[in-house]
Amino acid sequence: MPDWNELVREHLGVSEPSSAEHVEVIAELSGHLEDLYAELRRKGLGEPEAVKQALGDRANWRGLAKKIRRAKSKEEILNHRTKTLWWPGLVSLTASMSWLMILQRVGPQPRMPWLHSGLPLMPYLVWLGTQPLLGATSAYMSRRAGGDRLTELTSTVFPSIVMLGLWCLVVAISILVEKNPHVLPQWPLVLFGAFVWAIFPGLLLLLGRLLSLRTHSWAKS
Amino acid sequence: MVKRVRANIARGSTELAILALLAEQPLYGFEISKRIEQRTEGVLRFELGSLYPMLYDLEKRDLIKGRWQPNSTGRDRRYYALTPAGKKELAPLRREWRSFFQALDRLAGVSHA
Repeated sequence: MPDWNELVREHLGVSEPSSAEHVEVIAELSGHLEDLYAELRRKGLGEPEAVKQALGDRANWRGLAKKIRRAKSKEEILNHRTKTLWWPGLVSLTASMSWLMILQRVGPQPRMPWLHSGLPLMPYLVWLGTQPLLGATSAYMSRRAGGDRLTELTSTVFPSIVMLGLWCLVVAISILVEKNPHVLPQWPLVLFGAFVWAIFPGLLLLLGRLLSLRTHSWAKS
Repeated sequence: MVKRVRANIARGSTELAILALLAEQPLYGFEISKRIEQRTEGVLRFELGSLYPMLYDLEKRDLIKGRWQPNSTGRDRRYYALTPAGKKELAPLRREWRSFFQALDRLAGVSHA
């Protein structure tokens, strides 16, 4: 019985397996050849002929090594995740934040801020109004890049996830680091802030995704 | 262009064949290639060069999961089973192929050929 492990290593051009993954691949291919060899022998082939047939020709082995390297490469996963989640999410977040900044700078400044309880309402409402568009855009980008439903949803609400995370961070720093005594007693306002800057915009982003799906299905039908 | 379409069809059909077989029970590489050959009466044949890169790719995409365990002769083999994501992928893949063949049939009458 030939040493299949040795033969596979030799044919793949691996003198010494460099990782556990290489060892596994070699063991798996050796097992396959061992089974194939046993079958060929049962069919009545002599040992040298059965070994030769099991191994196939050398050109296929070079191609196989290349294909396995490509299939095992983690790079593609990262690229896929970048294309379906990070890129649409970051585009949406950057657009959302830049737009908010522009609106706050050039938008109408409240002359009597006490009447608005500190909330510059107009820029905020305009900003909210554009959230569905951003949600639709990131959902479309993720879907187009082949993202599954969960990835698409996550990329859609990505700006809200970041805002909620920042909000929680600011509140935690205020309470734990700055020992601000006014935060905990004002918890309804803290919750309101989270709702205003993260949850409500998130719902509008999702609405945008829904509208983009509808538009897509209408266009298809 | 034609080469790419052909490559995509070959790749897609390999994927469907493997996922459909593993939906029945976990199998290892050699068993997968034998089953495919038997079920298709030798029309489809998967050898080392086409089977394992596809298995590793499916595993990387989390559609199947490999696990070493002894086979009926006591030798360790890497058995592949469908993951929940693989099960979810199979139904739409079947639908796509069915509609592809129906479309091809309407166009070229391939099922009566």
